[in-house]
Amino acid sequence: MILSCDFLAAQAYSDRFTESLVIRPLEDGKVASLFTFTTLMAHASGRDPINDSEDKPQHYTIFPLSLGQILREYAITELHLTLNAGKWDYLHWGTPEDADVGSGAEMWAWMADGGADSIDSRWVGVRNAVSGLLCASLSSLSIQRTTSPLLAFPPLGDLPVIRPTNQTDASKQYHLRHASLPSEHVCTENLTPFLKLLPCKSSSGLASLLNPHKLFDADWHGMGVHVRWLERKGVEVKLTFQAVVDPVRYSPTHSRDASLGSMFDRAIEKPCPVAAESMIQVKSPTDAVFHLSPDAHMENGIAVYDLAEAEYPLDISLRWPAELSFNYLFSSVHTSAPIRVTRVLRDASQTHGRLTVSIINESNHTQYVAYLETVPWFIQFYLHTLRITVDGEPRPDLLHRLSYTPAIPHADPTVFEPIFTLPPLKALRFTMEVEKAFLRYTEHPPDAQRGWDLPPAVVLPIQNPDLPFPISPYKSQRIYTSTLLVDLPTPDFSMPYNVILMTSTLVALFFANIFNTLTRRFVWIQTAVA
Amino acid sequence: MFLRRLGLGTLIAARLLLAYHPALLHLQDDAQLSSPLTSYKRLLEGIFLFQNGVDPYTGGTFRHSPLLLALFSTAFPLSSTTAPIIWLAFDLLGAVSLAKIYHSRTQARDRNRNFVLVAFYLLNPYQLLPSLARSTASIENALSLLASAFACSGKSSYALLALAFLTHLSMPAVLLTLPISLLILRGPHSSLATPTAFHSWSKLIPLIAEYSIYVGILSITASSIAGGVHWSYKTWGAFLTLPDLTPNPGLWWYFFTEMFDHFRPFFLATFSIHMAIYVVPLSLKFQHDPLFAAYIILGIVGLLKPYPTLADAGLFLTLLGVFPEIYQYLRTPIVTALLHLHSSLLLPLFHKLWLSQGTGNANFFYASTLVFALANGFAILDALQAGLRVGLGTRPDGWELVQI
Amino acid sequence: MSIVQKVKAILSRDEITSAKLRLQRRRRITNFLVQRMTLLRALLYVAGYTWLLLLPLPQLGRGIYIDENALQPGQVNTYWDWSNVHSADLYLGQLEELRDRNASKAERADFVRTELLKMGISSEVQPYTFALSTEVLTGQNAYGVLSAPRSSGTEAIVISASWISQRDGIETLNLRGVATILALAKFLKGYSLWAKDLIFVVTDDYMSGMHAFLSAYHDAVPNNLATPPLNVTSGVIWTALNIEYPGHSFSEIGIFHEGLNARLPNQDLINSFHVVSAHTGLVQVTLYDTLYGARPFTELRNLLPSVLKDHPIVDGYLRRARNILQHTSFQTLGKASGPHGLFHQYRIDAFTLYAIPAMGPHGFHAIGKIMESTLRTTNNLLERLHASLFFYIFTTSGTFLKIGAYLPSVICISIATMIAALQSWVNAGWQQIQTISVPDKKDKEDASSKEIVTLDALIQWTTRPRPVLLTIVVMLLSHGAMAVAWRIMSYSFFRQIPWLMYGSVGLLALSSLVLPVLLVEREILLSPAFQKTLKAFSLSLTSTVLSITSLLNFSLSAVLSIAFLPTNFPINANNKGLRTNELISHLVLASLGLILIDSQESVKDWELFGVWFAPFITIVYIPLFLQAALIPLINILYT
Repeated sequence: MILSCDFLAAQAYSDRFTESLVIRPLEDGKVASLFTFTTLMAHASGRDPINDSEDKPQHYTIFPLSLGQILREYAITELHLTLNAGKWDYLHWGTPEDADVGSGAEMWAWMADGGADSIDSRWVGVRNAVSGLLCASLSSLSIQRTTSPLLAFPPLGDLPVIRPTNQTDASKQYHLRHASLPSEHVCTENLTPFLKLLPCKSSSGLASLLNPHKLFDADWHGMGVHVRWLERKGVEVKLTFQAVVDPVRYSPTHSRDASLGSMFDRAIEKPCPVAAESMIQVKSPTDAVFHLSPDAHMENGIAVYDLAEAEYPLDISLRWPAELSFNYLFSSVHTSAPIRVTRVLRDASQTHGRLTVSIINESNHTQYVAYLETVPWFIQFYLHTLRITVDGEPRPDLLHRLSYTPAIPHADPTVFEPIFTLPPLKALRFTMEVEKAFLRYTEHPPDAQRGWDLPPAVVLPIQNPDLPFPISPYKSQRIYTSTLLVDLPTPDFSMPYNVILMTSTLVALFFANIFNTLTRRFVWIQTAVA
Repeated sequence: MFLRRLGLGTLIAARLLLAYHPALLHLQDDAQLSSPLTSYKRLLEGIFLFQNGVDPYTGGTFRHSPLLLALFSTAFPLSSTTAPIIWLAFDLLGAVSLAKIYHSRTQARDRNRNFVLVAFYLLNPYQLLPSLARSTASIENALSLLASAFACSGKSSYALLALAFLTHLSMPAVLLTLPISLLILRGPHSSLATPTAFHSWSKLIPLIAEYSIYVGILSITASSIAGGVHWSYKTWGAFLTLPDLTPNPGLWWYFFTEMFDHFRPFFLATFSIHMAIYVVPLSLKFQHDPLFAAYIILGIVGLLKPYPTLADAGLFLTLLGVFPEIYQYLRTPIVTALLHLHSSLLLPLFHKLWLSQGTGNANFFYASTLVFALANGFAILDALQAGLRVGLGTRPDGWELVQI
Repeated sequence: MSIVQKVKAILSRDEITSAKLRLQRRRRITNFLVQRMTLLRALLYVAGYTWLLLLPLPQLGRGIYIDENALQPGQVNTYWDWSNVHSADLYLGQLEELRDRNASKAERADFVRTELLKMGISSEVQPYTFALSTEVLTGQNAYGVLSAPRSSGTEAIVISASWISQRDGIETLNLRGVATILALAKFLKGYSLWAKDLIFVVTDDYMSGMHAFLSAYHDAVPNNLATPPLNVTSGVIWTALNIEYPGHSFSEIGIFHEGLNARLPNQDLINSFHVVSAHTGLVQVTLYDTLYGARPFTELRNLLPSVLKDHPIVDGYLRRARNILQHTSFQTLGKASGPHGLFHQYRIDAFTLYAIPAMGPHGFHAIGKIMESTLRTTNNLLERLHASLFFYIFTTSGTFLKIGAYLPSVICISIATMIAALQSWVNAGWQQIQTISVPDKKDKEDASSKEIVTLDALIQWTTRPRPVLLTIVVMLLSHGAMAVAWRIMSYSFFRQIPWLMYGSVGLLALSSLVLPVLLVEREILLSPAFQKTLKAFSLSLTSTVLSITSLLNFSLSAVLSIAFLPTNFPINANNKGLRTNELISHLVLASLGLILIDSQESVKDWELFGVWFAPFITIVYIPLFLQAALIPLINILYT
């Protein structure tokens, strides 16, 4: 009864909740799955920081209230947050369904300027609020990590024009703040509040599969919160959970057969009543030996289950009856990303290092990519040592355009944003020398000897490299590199008093002697009778 | 005569060969030879940014003077072929000015001694290595010698102009204004043995005024190059606020790495002021021989400045050749020498142990910098006492000299 | 005279008097010291050398302990069981099959790569070629990276085995080591608890393969190495374990830990391995390849009276002495005691587990358990091992010497040498004319001028100029000559023709001796001023070299401190025979350096791994002896 009530309510306020699960077997026997929970608040829009006030009455039904309030408080037009654990293997796993797979925490927001409090203060506010909401320690995404890249993070929705101006100028009213924290770990304490944002929590529907015990043992897992505004539709919040599980590791016979049961050790008991649409898609491999049960109706090679007319408990299983145990060498599935990036920072000493990035173009036509490197200030680039090579041949001409913001000591990070031309079926390799700064002893973390994690670099394939700025016109999928660990030179943390003591003593001695020599008078004294 | 020419020729040739040797390129990364304010790599980086339309003074990497930026991005483009020649040229300039100073001080037409001086300047490892690392410290050395040389030969405007340039490259050089101006007024002749008072202090005012005008003009030029005055925070400001804590042979870096944040400004001020307090007393004490005053002050600045390199100690040691009259009164030359021997070996070794091998920690290198400071302190003190001692003549039998 | 009067006297003094008193006091102290300098020096020598002899005493050492609490060695359940042993045996079978049809390097590498790929570990083969001046080393490494689940892959642990195991010059195939690696890879893949990537490396040859791999991995490929960049990489390597398991089965596991240029791994790693092996594997850990219970120096024991022969104290002393000597023999030459030694230069803590061949009792089961547990321990690390546990000498596998326990020995000797130098410096500049006996106690009471007369007249000195510049030039000449000699020794052309090489080196050395004799005139050469100054400078350089190398490579400095002893005691007797002996002894000691370089292939070590032993000996060690030899040479020639 209650259920049906708020089902009606949902209709009345025309908030729409849809959920979907995409399952995809991978080349190396693992299985990728993506949960997507989308709530649309029709005909609503983000708060205009200038004109309307924070305490305008709001009405929420299935749109998560706690999130809505945050968005309203800080007048956020578009908000993205991802918490991922693991390194996405583009070579074997291909392009992820949800592009934002950078290790650790990553957060960015589009905000309209104007209003009482500045963009940056609102950024700090929303950062702390969201980290409170999801129990993530994002508050350390301080100014030392915050940047405003030009290309790589375009708005995914539309930006409402808040002041009547011509369209090009409208974009100038919006500002991007982006920060990532690679060392952030994802675990149950993030999942629980995440589930609270769902209308059915984890009690029914697809969300009931989100079982921490299994998910956090997966080879790769990550969750995302994406809020955007769509013109003539409203504010849309998209909650995603992505996981790559390894059935081979679980099965005693090392077979890659998988099922909801084996992957999440749950089956779906009942659908989520408020879900207007609830689908499971299995991107089944094309080879014959693959068997899927229960039977689903195929839509161009994708098996689709609609939870509305499925019989329960629903447990989908993927089987390769022909093979006893999985053989990595002769995998029937082949998934690989069109563009792959590897990035390494090798350091001869703790003071210098060399950054080596190779971008591999698997496609047989020339591509343009925007590369984005945002590293904290203590890594200083030597741009004049930038060398671009293809097959060992220097190719400086492949650097199409370069925008660069040098780091400011103890404050802003470096932003290095070149656009490269990738020749077909070749690996572009560029190297650059970097210098590591020396930190004050108060600036080091407690585990100073571990080193510092550098955020992943981002590569964005772009169609036409000459489109105008300031708002990036490129909407293609981002590609993330792995994160890096650099160890910085550390002082001895037990020394402050000793150093102050010893240096001061030396200086004092020097001064005293000079002073003596200059002020005391010379006299001859007789030491022996001549 | 011919032998000297030959010797000089081989010297220069050897210097060039060394400078072009690829194996020595890694010297550019050596923290003892070039500080963040004199590093060749950072200079190249700054020029690169400047030429690619990025303001080099927005970041923290580039801290050289805009004058250098203009000089090397237009007149003398830096490359692996030109740089060695440019640096050698500056070293020769320094060497020649050194010989000039010696000549104008002693009036002796002793060419052999000149040659020894030049050779010592070109071969002294404390000078040679920074120059091979293409650290702009060798440019600073050349300029300070040039300024003194001009002052010795009474060319006041040139001297002050050179000094103003030097001040733009490294701010502590401003402390040399007083002794150099005195030098211009009193001349370089060695009068350590015959102290006489100086009365016309007022004559200093126009010189110092002239100097400040030059500095002003250069600053305006610099601002027009950099497009604003923000360059001064990055270059001169660095001397006062120590934003970059890269280790160097000096006393500041570890002190302010380990400093508690709330004391930082206080000690920064203390250290800066402490460096300045020696100028007036020394200039007064040695008003009869300003060149010697300048010499001692150079040494003290080299010891106490925020971003010293080996080149600073090198300049002091080399200049000792200009004052032969004090040799016999030096009390602890062997101690100084041994301390320098140890520290010059320990500095690179402990730097490697700490930062490359990871077996030692920061205290190792800190200790070696203390030894180095001790060596320099001994040298300065010894020279100072000898300089005063000269005035008191030789020791009669059965008499001893004491200070009370 | 009462206290009151004394105080009154002190108060009533004027500046001059007190200054006089100060002066006297200073002189008394200096005289006191100067007179006892030689004694002090002798004491320091004795202290230093006896200390060196006492190093093997248990009282100086202490038991090992774990400093880094995160390690928690041996705290986990191990899952390695007989099924894994079986898989290891299967791999071994295939490897032996490869060996029997002596498969090519390429086949071997490809086999390992394929096996790793079968497990789902991305892997590849790395061919490499070292072009040395005397030979060309080629080989093929195979390696794979198991990227840990849920980790961002920023840190990694290396588990490696070289195809060849080499002990005392004897080469055996390390088949069981390689089999262990493969079985471990297969086994460890099944667990999701790894926080760091695991890199499995099977290197060709003994050392060169690992050198090639590490150079390529760290993007530091030297000029004489040709190898493609690695495609499968991971993050920063923190620790590495190298397995040598040549025999059929083993009785104890020996630790080899010395790295290139006397670098040592962090002691915590070895200590925690020791704990793991004792508690999990129940295998006795020993140092190097001698059994823990072995009784070294049998012939030396036989010389001892039967009471002492097997006395526990003597026995323990000899055992520790043996280990220390073994350690010294590796360190002095800067040689690595195994492939692990190449890791240290990249700040990676590594050591080699050497399964000492025996008829039993242990095999794959034990080594697997130990490896698993040790890996779990290193997997616990949250920070790089950093505590100051890099300076140590193992006396047994369970006890070691801290730096404070062994460093003073060499430092004492170095100080003594420095005193000798300073004395020589003083004597060079000052000449004593006459001496008056020390005045008796009673008139030392107050500051009467009379007393000062006696004090002053105690020793009469005159000064003489020291030929400093000349001395420096002479020294630079010898160092310069040997620097040229070093260039010659590293040219491939000369290295083809040894007699030519050593001939020219000897010629250079000789010239550095003869040139000064020819160029400088007799009086100066014979003058004590010159000879003493030369001695002073040469000795102070020696002392500096000793104290500085003691921090970098203690073993080397200890050996040097013994070698340099003869130079400290110049024989200035007029006996020609003695002088000749001195001259010859110096020259012999100098040439010993060359002989060592030649017999140990140190030049090759320099070319391949950058071991600085050879250049050091040539450019620093030999010239110091040449300088010492110059003085007797002059005296012999001119008197």
